[in-house]
Amino acid sequence: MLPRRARPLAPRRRAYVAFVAAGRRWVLPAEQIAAVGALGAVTRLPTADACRLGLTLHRGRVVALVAPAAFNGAGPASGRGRHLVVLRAGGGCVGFAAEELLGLRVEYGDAVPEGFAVLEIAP
Amino acid sequence: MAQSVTAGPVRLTVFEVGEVEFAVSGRIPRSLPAPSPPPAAVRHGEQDFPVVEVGTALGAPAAAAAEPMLFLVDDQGCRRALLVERLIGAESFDLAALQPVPPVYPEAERRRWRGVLPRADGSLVVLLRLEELPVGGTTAGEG
Repeated sequence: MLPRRARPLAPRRRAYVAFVAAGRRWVLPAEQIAAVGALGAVTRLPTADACRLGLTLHRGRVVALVAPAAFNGAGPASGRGRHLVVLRAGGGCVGFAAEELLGLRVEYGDAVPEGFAVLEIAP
Repeated sequence: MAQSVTAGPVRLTVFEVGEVEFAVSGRIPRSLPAPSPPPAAVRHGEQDFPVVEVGTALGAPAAAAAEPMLFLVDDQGCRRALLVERLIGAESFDLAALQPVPPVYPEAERRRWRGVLPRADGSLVVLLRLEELPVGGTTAGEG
């Protein structure tokens, strides 16, 4: 029996959620995102860490609103926005504010949508 | 002192510090405009209620309250006199709706809070652990 000609593997498709936050354009792998929605009232719980912005309610669940370290350079712009992006986190609901949601972007392989930076979320 | 939280509707006392609404459980024997400077404790009947400046205890941003209030709380024998920016009043909550503060907040901070109670309008009230609020200073008579 003749061996079958190996077919090149198609590059893996990867979906990203694109948004504007802290004045910049970002993407996050879609599998890291649990939900997006409107950002409601924020309860600014007193805390020693300025990156913990407070608590908000999303679909009945309390979500901790944080300013990812990547936003640090944006100063006061960090934490503003009409939209809430909730992350899949092992220890409870964590989210951040986004100024605009730009929808899904699909790339192949390791490519990142042009004009966007991948937002690194510390574990 | 163990403070159990039972499910079901309960009346909590709600107050405001640093633009955040907090609540405590327990009996409120008295409330009064906060004297300046505040005493270390308030005597009510035969018992002393150590004063806790809640804003300072929680590290909340200082606010110039128009009429700061002092109210006495007795929660199953844990007695405190809480100095707050605004005493809002008693409100019913269903403790079955109590949610923990997410663990992104460190344990040392989360220890102060039993949890978070959502209201129907989307606002949140933070339920405090009275026994975790630090006290200090000397006792003053009730007068």
